[in-house]
Amino acid sequence: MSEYAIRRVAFSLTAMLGVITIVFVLLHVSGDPATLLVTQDATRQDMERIRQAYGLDRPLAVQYGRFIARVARGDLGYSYRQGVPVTELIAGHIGATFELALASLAVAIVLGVAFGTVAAVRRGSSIDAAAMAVALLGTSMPSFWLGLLLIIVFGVKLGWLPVSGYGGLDHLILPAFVLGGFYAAQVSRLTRTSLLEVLAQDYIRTGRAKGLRGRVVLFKHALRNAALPILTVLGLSFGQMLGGAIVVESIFAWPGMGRLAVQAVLGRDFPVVQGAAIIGAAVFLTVNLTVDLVYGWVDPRLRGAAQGA
Amino acid sequence: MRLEMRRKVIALCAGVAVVLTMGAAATRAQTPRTLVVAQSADIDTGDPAGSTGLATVAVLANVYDTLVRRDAALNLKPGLALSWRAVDPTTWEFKLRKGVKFQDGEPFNAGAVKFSFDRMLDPKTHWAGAGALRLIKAVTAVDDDTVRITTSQPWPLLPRFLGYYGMVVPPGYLRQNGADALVRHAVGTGAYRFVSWVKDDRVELEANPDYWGGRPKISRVTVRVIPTDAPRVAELLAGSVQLAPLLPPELFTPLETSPRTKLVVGKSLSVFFVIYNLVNIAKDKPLADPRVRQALNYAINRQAILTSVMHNVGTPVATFCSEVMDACDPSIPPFPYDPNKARALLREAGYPNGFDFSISGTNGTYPGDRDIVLAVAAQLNQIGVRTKVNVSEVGVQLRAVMDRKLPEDGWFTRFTDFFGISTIIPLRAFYSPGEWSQWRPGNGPFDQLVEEAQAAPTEAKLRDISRRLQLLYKDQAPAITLFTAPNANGMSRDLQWTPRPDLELTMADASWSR
Repeated sequence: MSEYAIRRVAFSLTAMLGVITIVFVLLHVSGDPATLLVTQDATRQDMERIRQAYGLDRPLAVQYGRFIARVARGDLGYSYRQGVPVTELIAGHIGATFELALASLAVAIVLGVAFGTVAAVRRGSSIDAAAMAVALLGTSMPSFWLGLLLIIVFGVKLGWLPVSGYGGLDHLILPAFVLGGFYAAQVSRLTRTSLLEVLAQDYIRTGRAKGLRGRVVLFKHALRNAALPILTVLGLSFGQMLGGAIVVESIFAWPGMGRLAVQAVLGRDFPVVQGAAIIGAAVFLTVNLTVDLVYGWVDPRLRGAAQGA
Repeated sequence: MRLEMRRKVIALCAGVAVVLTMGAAATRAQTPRTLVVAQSADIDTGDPAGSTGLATVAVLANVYDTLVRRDAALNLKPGLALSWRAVDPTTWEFKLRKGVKFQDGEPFNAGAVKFSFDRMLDPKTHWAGAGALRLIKAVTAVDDDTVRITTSQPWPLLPRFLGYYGMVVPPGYLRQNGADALVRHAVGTGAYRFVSWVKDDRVELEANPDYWGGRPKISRVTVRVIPTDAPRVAELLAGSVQLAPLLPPELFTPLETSPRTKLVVGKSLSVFFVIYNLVNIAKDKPLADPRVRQALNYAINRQAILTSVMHNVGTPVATFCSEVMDACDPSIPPFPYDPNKARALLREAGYPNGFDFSISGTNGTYPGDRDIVLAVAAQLNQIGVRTKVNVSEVGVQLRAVMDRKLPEDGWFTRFTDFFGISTIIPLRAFYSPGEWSQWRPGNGPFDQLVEEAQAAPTEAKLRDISRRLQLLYKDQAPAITLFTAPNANGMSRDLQWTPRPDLELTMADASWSR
């Protein structure tokens, strides 16, 4: 097991090095921060000064070497644009992203599992058809469109909820619904499929035959066994959400990692982009690792398999 | 057990409902007495020597003052300096306002001015505006209320530059707390005090009761960051934001029809161009011939584009001059829409069947950018110039422009002259050694006039040079000159405020009408 863990960690670190190298190369070949940091009134000397200050006049290999050496020391550098440490910027944004991701995950679980379960239990009925139609709509509706629609209805017309911004619980509802709704659609379809499969198993029939109530069969025996694939998808989704939901954060003016990253990319704020990529990759890999471990905990068979291996 | 569970669930739901209602009530209770401004980008820093970005300067102009102030029509007014005069051709003397204090209590004096300028212009500061003030040789404090600025050559326009650049910072605060403190918390002499800043969310400002210009009428201003334009307009319609600057034309209609909002269009210092790529152009290429470059200008129906794409906001321009720039000759007319003349010029130049032409454009960088460039292409196709548009990300585009390696024949862009002097855009965009110039080798007489303009000893001389420059520009046509870029602001109906051509969001003279 420990050898397995070490291999996983080594793999994760290699993957991260790959991610930051790709990000580094793509950024440096695609634009010049100096042209974007200044207004059109700046002279060539102004831009040269900026390039020198950030070492951008050095050969790419030298810049890369320095960058990796810094990262290895845990130093993510200073933002070109804002002049403050990247770690400070990330710390200032990751909380909002976490909040939104958790709320969206809750929406995805509650709506997804509920819709999927109802659809599976009432398979072939009009409820099933309706639930699956909503799910289809949920996956296929672009979040910027759904977001704007909800803003117009609940923010502008009815005035029940704030249009955008970061604040109390009421600010969280619309973005969490838009972001979580997308994943809820996937989860509900998966729940339905997985549950239908389990409901056809012999032990379910046995449970029913020995007189267990329908609810006990469903929640205690069927849903628990159907949960495995759902858990995997939820884990991956949560990882994606933590990377920052660029569209949802932009529409709802949510000050999270997605916006920090996209603004940094557009402004060629190299240290911030690299910092965000490193943190994003780390979070994603951590979530994946956690899901693997939880998987083993939920399914004792896997634990046995891992020990046997 | 199950009953208890159910009770817990009901209690939780009730709790959530109460919190939500209170939250909603709190939002409503926040009366519009706090002015909420929604910008699409956050400030970069609280230190004016840390950024020249528009989103930053626009907000910091509330916290800091410059020596010279410009009113909403860009007339020069006393700022931190009460008066100024040229002592000799290369020395300006500024008499400072007395009794002014920084918001932390530190007294403002000549020492603070010298400190601020020395700091801004120190190469170690990497201030991107230093190049614009490069003619400044030294700043000396003559006494507590007098500052002299010496320049490396006669510079009659210096006060005009100091109406935009040169925010004065408190030396004591910086020495005591370090430069980092100013980055996070701005301290100036301005009309508003910096209260707090949550990055990418909001900046809170509060009226400075001791402001030398009198206490502002609106006591609290919140500048929110809402990156997408549609929700910025939705906030205006919902009444939770009272001012959203620089909106794109596709969002004008709801603002004009809502009973709550209005669209206020300010004067503009920005002009849209399709700048020809004339970098080392071979003599046998169509664009090497000024007649061809003029022909494309005659092919454009500027008013039609303004009507169809820009919601009728904007003015066709003849040259790099917009309606509010100094030293411009308004009698020079824009190219009229004359496709027959365009075709005739093409024939004359030897291209009766037109030629292939490409334009590099952007999408979402400037208001209406993509639609404008597509309309231009469609109109050029009408006279047989087969035009292809490549839309790219602005960072990629600007790098190619800067390296003079733009693959396209034309660069669609917007030039803004925040100083309001007609000879600035030619210097940056068309003077062949200029930073963004694609006209190289350029036109000798044009370059010479641009150089003369920088050294013009008097304003009258400058006006004369500027006029010659405009005529030569129109004749040589180094670009398809289009129209001014919109300075369109969505505002709450009860907000009284005049949009500024320099796009600063100074709220000192804003007020509520009820």
